[in-house]
Amino acid sequence: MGGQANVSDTGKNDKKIARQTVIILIVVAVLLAAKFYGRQKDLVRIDALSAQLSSDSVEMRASAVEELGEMEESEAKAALLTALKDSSS
Amino acid sequence: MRAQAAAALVGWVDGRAVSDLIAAVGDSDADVRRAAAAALAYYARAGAKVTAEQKEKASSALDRIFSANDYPAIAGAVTYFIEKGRDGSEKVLIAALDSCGTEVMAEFFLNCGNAILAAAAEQWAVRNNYSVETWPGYGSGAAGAVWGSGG
Repeated sequence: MGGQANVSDTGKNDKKIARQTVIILIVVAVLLAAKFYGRQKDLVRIDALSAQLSSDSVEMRASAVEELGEMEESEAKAALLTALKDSSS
Repeated sequence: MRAQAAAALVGWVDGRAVSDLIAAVGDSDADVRRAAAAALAYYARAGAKVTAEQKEKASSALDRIFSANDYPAIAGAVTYFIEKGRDGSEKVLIAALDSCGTEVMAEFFLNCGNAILAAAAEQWAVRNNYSVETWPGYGSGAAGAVWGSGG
């Protein structure tokens, strides 16, 4: 009887481990998706701000520089090189 | 706006920026030169993750501003010049402090381990109504660049 109980427990443990693995995988997938989405959102914003650097309005360009300066992404820093060469400011 | 852009580039080390920063240290605006020199110092310092050529270009550009006595730019890259620790360079560094020094720059001088710069910083602090406090065990590069550490 003890042997049968052990077989049953092993099955339960396998299901538990499988369930935990699925949960972990879902959490990881959600985190990766959020990170990917956040990065895409930042890149779209950087593109918009980069375009703003070519604006005729000094205020618009200054605002873009300020926002880009607060961003850590390498693409934002690269965009700031354009502002650095802006001889009209 | 150029100065703000240059300031935002301080600490970001990327080979794409070297030539633009070198051009910016020759800008007519002192604030741009100061910020660009501060950014360029990261490329010229030991351990920077750039190519030997980029590092050499950055070092040469900073050496040129030093030779030209461009005090705002020298003030921007002051940690680079302290780490270089060249004999006789104290006179120009002190002139830069007197010309356009800041509290942070004075603190670099006080803690870099060079007695001449430390004395100059104390005098600068008195003239600008700052007080200098000393803690045991604090100094000789404890907070910032160490004189001569960068070869």
